[in-house]
Amino acid sequence: VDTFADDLARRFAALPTPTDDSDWLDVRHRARRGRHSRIAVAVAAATLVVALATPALGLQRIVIDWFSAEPAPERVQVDFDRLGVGAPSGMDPQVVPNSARKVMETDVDGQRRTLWVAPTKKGGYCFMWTDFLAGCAADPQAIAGGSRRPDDVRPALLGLTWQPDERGVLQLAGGHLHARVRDTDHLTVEFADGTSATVPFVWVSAPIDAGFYIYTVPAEHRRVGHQVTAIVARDRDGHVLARQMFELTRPEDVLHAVRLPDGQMAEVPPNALVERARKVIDFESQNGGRVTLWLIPRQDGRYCYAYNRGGGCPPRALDVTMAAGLQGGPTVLFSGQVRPQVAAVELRYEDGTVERLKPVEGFVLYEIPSSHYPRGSRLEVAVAVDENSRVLESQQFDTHMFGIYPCEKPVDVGKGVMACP
Amino acid sequence: VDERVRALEDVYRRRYAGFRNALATVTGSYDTARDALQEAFARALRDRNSFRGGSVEAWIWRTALRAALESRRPVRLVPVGELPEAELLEPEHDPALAAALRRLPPRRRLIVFLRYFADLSYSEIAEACGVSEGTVAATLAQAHHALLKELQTKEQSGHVR
Repeated sequence: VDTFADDLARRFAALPTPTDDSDWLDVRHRARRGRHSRIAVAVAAATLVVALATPALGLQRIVIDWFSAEPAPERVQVDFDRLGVGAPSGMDPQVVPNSARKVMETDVDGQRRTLWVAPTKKGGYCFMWTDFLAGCAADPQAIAGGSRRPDDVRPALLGLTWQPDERGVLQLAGGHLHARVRDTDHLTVEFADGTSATVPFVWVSAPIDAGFYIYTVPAEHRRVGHQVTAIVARDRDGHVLARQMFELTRPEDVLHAVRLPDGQMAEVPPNALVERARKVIDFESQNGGRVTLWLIPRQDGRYCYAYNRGGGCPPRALDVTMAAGLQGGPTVLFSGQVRPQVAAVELRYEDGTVERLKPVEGFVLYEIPSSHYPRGSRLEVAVAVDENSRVLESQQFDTHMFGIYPCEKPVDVGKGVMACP
Repeated sequence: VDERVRALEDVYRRRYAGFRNALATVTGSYDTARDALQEAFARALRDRNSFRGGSVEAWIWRTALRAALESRRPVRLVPVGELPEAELLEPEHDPALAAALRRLPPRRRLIVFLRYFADLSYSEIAEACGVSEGTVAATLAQAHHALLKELQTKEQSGHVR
């Protein structure tokens, strides 16, 4: 009978049931309908509306009780659920979407935005500003990113997304404060003209245990000489807990768009000698067009490169033996840069086929044949070898990554996201 | 927020699907079951200060069951002790099980649904139905024997009523 109980449980579990249509918000609304006298209090507790752009409120740190925050509607939960779709192995933030909540609303650049936060299975969180910024600290134990500049102080604890103009002048900044700076009492931005301003932020209680902020830079500080130079978290006594510096892009590194002789567009700095651009690799694509890689010298001896689906202006020396990637689209391009000692790059496919590419001036650019689009025959690894065929470096490719290889009909690859498998 | 709100939300998130499925066997549809369940949790939220201890799950279940029964027409107040008939909603998916369940007495059948669809523990079922845990255990044991016998007979003969 004991095993029969298990069997019975399995049979009940196998019966068809509708998907999860739970809605705690609806429960709360129903509860409020019968309790009018408490409505005002309940609403105030459920949603905190904060005018972050106007510190006139006099509030710098606002604490929000996570369990009082309003649960997110289904459309937001779906957005959170999709954060992990297509993420490389180990990169899925593992959001718990049906626990997402509304933390606050504010005006950003004239538009009303809502901050939604959801916990992750690893004890961290992800956040999304409606149709705007999003970010995750999925694993609070794994804080990446050390100090990049001498004046930075634990910048990784100030999770930050920002929107600069082409010179690096900050227009907008938003982010989160890690639990390790939970003693933050003041968050400030400092400007190049020596002034500073307070950035209000909210601190969400456990299990999130993190702060969130968004800052729209005023017009008078969106110009060189008055721009934001740092964002700083300080405790009640004024001690710096974390600081992240912002530097202007050097004038010679500010990119602008130019048209190359074949009509292709490229983004290059002012010292690029576009008139001396030359084709390094050029071949006819399977779809009839041309695939071309241009090399554009710069006055300082460095160079930029541009090809149909990308480009860049690398530092003088490549700091790895091979840096390669696949770019999907109507066709699939394999592109890479290699050090001079690399004599060839071998492309090894799942079906055992091997192709050998010879670098041209340190570049490889190749169109993957359509016969290697189906699963089971895709590019598995690229191997850089020297002239004696000794392996110098190899790079694995995820053959199950979707959205790279073309297909006739995209399919639902999870959570309603349509892509080629 | 008081602890009771948190506890209720926790029960809601953990038990929603099970409660809805079990209620649907009583109300006859998932839609009415969902409505009854939402109303039950709303009532529980409003009346949380009247909760006097015991299992929150069982308390919610009683409230939900009452809401489900009251949603039937004609409207009437139903004492919790009056156990309703429960049926599998889509018997064609496991006709043998559906037929075997139909042969159980109503009380036994409801306890089976509470155990396997609502995922309630013996003590929660006991509290929800106003009986002792021993009675739940004995009732389930009897139900198991009856279902086992019924299913073996039907499945060996390949005949489903």
